[in-house]
Amino acid sequence: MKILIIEDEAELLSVISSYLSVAGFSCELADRFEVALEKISLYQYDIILLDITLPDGNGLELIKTIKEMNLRSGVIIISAKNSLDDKISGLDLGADDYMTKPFQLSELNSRIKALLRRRHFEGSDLIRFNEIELNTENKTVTIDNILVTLTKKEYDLLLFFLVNKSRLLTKESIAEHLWGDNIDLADNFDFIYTHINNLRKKILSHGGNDYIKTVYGMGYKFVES
Amino acid sequence: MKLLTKLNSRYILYSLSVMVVSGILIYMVISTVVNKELDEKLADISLRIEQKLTDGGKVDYLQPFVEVSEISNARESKSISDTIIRNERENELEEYRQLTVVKKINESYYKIVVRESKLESEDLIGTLAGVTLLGLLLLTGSLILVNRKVAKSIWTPFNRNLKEIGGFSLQERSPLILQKTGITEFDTLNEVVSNLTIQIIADFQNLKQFSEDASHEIQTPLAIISAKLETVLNDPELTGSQLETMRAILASVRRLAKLNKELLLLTKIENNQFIAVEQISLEKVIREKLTELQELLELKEIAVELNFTDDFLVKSNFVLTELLINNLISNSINHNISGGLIRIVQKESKLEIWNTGRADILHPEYLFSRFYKENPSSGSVGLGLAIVHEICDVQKWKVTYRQANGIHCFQVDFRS
Repeated sequence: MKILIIEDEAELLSVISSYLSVAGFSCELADRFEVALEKISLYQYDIILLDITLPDGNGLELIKTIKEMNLRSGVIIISAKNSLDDKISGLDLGADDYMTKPFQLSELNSRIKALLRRRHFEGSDLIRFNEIELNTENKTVTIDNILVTLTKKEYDLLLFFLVNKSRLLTKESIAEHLWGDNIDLADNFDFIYTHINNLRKKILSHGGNDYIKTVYGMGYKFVES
Repeated sequence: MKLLTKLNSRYILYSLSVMVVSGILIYMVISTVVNKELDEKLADISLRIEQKLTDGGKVDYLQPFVEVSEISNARESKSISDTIIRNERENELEEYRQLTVVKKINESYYKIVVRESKLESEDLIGTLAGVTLLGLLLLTGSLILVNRKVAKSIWTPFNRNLKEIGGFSLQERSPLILQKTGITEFDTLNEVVSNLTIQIIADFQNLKQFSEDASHEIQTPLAIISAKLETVLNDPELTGSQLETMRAILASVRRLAKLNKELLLLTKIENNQFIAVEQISLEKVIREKLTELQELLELKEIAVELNFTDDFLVKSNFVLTELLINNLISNSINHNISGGLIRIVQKESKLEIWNTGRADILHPEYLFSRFYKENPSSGSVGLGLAIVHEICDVQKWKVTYRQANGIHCFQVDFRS
């Protein structure tokens, strides 16, 4: 999977690209409008991460170009501006998702994966992890081919874990992924624990293994036991 | 005291004192003139009597106007005085002016007393003084009246402009355009005020823009810190204590990020950046929000009661309305107790969100202030209700809070 990251902040550019490289993506970088335009016209990317405020041009123009060239690339806007106008015009122009800085890399990763699934780039709606199989098309989970009934949040949680395997997911990032950042859950992280416990129990009761490792005080990791 | 009243009372005071002084003066002048006239008349009469006596004629007495008597051993003299004589017929005291002359005529001394009643002249003085005073009074009165009338028409545009200035609000973002009054002083004042409002609006705008820009600029370094931290957290060589430090840093960064996001939101609301208006069904927004939060409610075992008397439509911005509902409902969940209750009641334009909670709020008056937290150890940034308040401010809604026996209630009146 090829990703073009367009971001003028060198530090952010490098940290995103190294994270995504570890996650198995092949990343190309552009720190200016001109460079980005050149790369877009020359190569084919599955996903383009786009910071719309660039020193030498407006990123929204790039979306127009991508659409004019009829490229199949999925576009995720990453912007410091949480401005609704930008969000709406970005999505109107054909961007697929919009993330506001600062964001969690794990969240970015799962949005990229979700976008890839939506565009069927990965060829299948199935995400498999040993005995666990998750069907993103009809949102079902089976363990050893037996259907497990999960609530919506439990399903989202499992999917979040599966796309961020072996990564430490903090309680905060899980909360934000599940509930969005609108609700102030600062005092309510116990809920994450309850959700994870329920999910763990359901997987175990269906004969699955306990892959969810608790990192004390920090969060959770989904790892091969 | 109104300027007009003050001016008028001064006018009246001055006019009165001028009238008193001029009244006294007029009286004195007129009475001097009349007395002089009287004295001349008396002198003339006494001269004629002397003439008649010299000619050896007989003088007719007419009491009390003329009295002539022969006296002995006297010296020639002449004196004028006022006297009071009883009028026998009317039995009244009357004032007279009298001239007493002692003169030697044909070797014998005569005392001639000539008198003239002052009654007539006093009447004259009174009438003259009265007429003059009346004239003065009329003049002052009419001046005051005219003054008041003119002042009223002069001050009307001033008062109108004053009202306009009083209604000035930074929310509107439009400078004051004041009416021309045609009076240089007022027009100068208007110009100064107009320019002042233009300046204030520009400064305010700059400040707001600065806050927004600053918040935006903070987002990028925050994004870098948080992304780098996340990478470090996944480093397998990290020791337990380093991990703990990292966790603390990450938690603070997230808090900072959240704080910045909410401040930015607050600035945007203040900057009226949410302008699109549509008809919104409150019930629909609330039901959607509750569905979204259903699992959270179940986990906390909070029951929700809904009571909508009619499908109330709010004409407002969707983002703001949703945000308001979101913050109020989040608040009622966050401060609720396990096994508690949330009751949402809508009646006409009023929406009430009740929730059971822990202890009573100690300082309800600060509840909507920025960064106010009843419980300082809470991880919340303390801007949720400030945002609610700000939304109500810009939408001209009214939000109130009340509590009783551990039940907390927020009421929003959507009638603007």
